[in-house]
Amino acid sequence: MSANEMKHPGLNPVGVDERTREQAGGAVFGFWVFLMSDAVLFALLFATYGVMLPATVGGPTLASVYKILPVFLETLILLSSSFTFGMASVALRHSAPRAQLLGWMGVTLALGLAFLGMELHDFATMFGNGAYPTRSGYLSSFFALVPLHGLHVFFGCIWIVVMMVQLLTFGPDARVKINILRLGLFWHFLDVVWIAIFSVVYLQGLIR
Amino acid sequence: MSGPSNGRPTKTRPLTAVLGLAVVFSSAVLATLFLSPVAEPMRGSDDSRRADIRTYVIGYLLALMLTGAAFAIVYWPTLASATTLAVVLGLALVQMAVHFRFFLHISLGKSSREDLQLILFSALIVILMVSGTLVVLLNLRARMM
Repeated sequence: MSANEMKHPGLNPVGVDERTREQAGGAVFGFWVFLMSDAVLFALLFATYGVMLPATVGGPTLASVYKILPVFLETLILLSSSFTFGMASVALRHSAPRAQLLGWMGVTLALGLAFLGMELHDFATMFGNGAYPTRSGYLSSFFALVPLHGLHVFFGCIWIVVMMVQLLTFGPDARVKINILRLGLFWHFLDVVWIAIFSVVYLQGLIR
Repeated sequence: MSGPSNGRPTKTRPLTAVLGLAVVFSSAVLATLFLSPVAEPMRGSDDSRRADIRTYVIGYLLALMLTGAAFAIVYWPTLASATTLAVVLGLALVQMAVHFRFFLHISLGKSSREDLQLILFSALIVILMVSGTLVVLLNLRARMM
């Protein structure tokens, strides 16, 4: 039993009937296809960023307009939100009380919004220092890559709200469970993209 | 990914050595992570719930350590900048593996579906496209200079 339990990557729900499990497998596979196409999109923006690194035309670079502390805090926030969503997945998987599930999702949402707030504040600071997208090819590629991740986090936050409403309206039925499973994959995937961003963009730009 | 592309002439020999070391180290870590079995005890029991939570806690702690190490090595520069970059990229690879293993629950052992092949194929596509783009365009830039 336990050897065949793992039907697809992702945290499989336990205690559901075979048919739901099969449906979940197909639904999650489709979502993985989307995630991987998104990964290809991000990868090409990373490649563009790498090519554009020297194209600053005398304009500001990351080192001249940015400090390491905000990006460290943003990383910690996003990392913790991945963990809290993991706790929500565990609560869902083991049919914990609904309040517990909603609580963890609420914490995740708050962390996601805090991340977005800090990131917007960073962009505002950069704009104030003359680092705006049309200044140089380097900054264009920066603002194509990093805010796209922020946009994903924004839609992830909307999705969390939608799922909390669905949970309150329908309760944790099979459809809601599958959707929260997919939301979890999306959220963890965004964290993986952020690892690439803070390493390739921020840390590389701040190395002295 | 865009290693020695910062425009300044770096000593390429040590960089390649460090990059090689980073790759060897990360693949060793990846192999251990992914080949170790996913904890999947009896369904529904309290043990299984605790095991699930433990997976996330381990992943969280590992991710925190790797993140901290990457930021620390940039904040307190001790190595040459090219070496620092190689270490940072190596740590990022390992941390991605940690996230895939502990948060997205992917392991090479038990996934019987096509999902794992999809992920591996996408990774191949990504590596080919990114490295191809960087090689071609940085080479072009070097020739145009």
